[in-house]
Amino acid sequence: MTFVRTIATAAATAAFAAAAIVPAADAATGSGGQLVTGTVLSAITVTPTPVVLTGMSPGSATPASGTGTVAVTSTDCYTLSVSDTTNEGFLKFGSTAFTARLQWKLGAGTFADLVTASTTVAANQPVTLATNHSISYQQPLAGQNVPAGAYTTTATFTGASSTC
Amino acid sequence: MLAAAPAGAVSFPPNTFGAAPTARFLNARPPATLGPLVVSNTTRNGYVVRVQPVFLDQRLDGAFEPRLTAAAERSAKRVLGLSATRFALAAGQQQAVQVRWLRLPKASRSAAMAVLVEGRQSGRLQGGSGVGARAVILSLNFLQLPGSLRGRGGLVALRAEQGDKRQIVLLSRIRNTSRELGRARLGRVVVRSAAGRVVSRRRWGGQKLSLVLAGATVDFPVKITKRLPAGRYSARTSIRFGSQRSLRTTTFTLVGPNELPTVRLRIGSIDATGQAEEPAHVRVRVNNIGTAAARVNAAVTLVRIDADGTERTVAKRRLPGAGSRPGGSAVVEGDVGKLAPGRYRVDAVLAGSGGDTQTATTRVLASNDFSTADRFGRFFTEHPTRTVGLVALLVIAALLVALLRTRRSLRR
Repeated sequence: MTFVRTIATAAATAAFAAAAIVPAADAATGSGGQLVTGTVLSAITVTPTPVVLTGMSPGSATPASGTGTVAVTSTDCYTLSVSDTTNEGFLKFGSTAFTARLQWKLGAGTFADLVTASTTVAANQPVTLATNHSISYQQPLAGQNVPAGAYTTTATFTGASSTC
Repeated sequence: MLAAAPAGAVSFPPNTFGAAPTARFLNARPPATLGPLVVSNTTRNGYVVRVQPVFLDQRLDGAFEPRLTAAAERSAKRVLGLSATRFALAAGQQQAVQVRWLRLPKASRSAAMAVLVEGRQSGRLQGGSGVGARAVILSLNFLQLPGSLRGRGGLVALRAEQGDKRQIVLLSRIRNTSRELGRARLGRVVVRSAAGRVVSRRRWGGQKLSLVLAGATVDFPVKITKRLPAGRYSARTSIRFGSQRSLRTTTFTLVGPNELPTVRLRIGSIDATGQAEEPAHVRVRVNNIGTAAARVNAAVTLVRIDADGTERTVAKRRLPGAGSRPGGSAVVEGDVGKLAPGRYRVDAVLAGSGGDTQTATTRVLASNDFSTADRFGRFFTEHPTRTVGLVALLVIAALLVALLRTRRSLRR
């Protein structure tokens, strides 16, 4: 028989509802009390929001910018990473692309280029019911001479359990 | 086969895209069924979901990441079988994907795998230019044959790093030299003052995910929250990894309470000079206002500014680095590109060995409006062979003239 050990986290809360809440009458005492046990399944959610950039004036000395959030809930400690595997960090419109990479930062951190390789956003974060990671983007525009259009790329946020 | 999750099986918080379980440890012989992976969408938008088995790699900070080469993706499908790989999840919907362990990779007793769940909101980004968002969740699966984990290796380094909120972080680096998964257990860190007194003692490792994948190297952080005054300290870390116990020691100096020496750079000045047909000469003075010595390196970009304001990068170069002491300064200089008549901008990125980075910009106007002396000087510098030939001709001519005059005077 296969022995499957599913790691469950006792630290998780009722927000991730029980997979099996098993009520059982305490027949031995006849007191009418109920033994209630619950097994909490481990679960993780990662919900990023799309961000519209404002101030997209090619050639401007001021970068275009925008801010969004990545909401995470997790019954385990977790690490959140970001990458752009579609456009390598460049905003694109059809076959036209910016030559300067889109940049991102977490909270009050410093901007870094968005690249294909997965980069850590927040490492070894504690168990959470709801954490909103604020992500700001900026697109350098100085020296960028591109035709009008709706330029986009996709930031992929990856969440996985880790130590903490 | 794709199955809707049983009603009430797993409930997720509202407005989220998620998956359960986060991690599983299977100690069995394949083939075996792992149980369902539940994918949930409690947002108000539809999601397009892609699910695939992947091998895991591990970064230095311990984070797991999918190995997404074509060959690895093919091999992963031979290890884990999924009942579905693509489906749509409407708002408020859940789906269960059956996961089956088919076999282990050849000659392995364990495998670090994950089911990668990728969720993309249906529809396009509204409102013009911007950044679309895609969520990826790794549901980890550590598979092994019956028995204990057989990873081998141990500690290879210990170093102190400045953490947030005036904390010192001691990083114990473990390298797994085997082809099997290993777990760090029974870790201890002891910090002693210069007098040899124990000032901090912490435990580390032993968590379910204190894992080091086959061939990986991972830094395990231990935060020292106790306030340590300025001074010199020694630290010792030890761990059991597989059947072996290993230890490493290091020393570090605090320049203030829980404050390691740091590199902080400030730009003192930046100058760029040059003329047409010459490289731009860039000179940057950087002040080290931190508390640690640093080596400063510079990456310089030469940008041409056309008459209509259009800018284009014409040359990039890394300049030779220079050292600086705390409170001192370093001068980094060198040539970059070749100028044509016109306006240029020089961007310099200065990076200190401690990680501090500063940027500086200056402009240079390249002219070809040279004086006659400049033109002679440039000709002599650029054409040394012709110059030597010319001088030799002049000398010969002068000698001939002198010889003729001498002969005439002798005839008289």
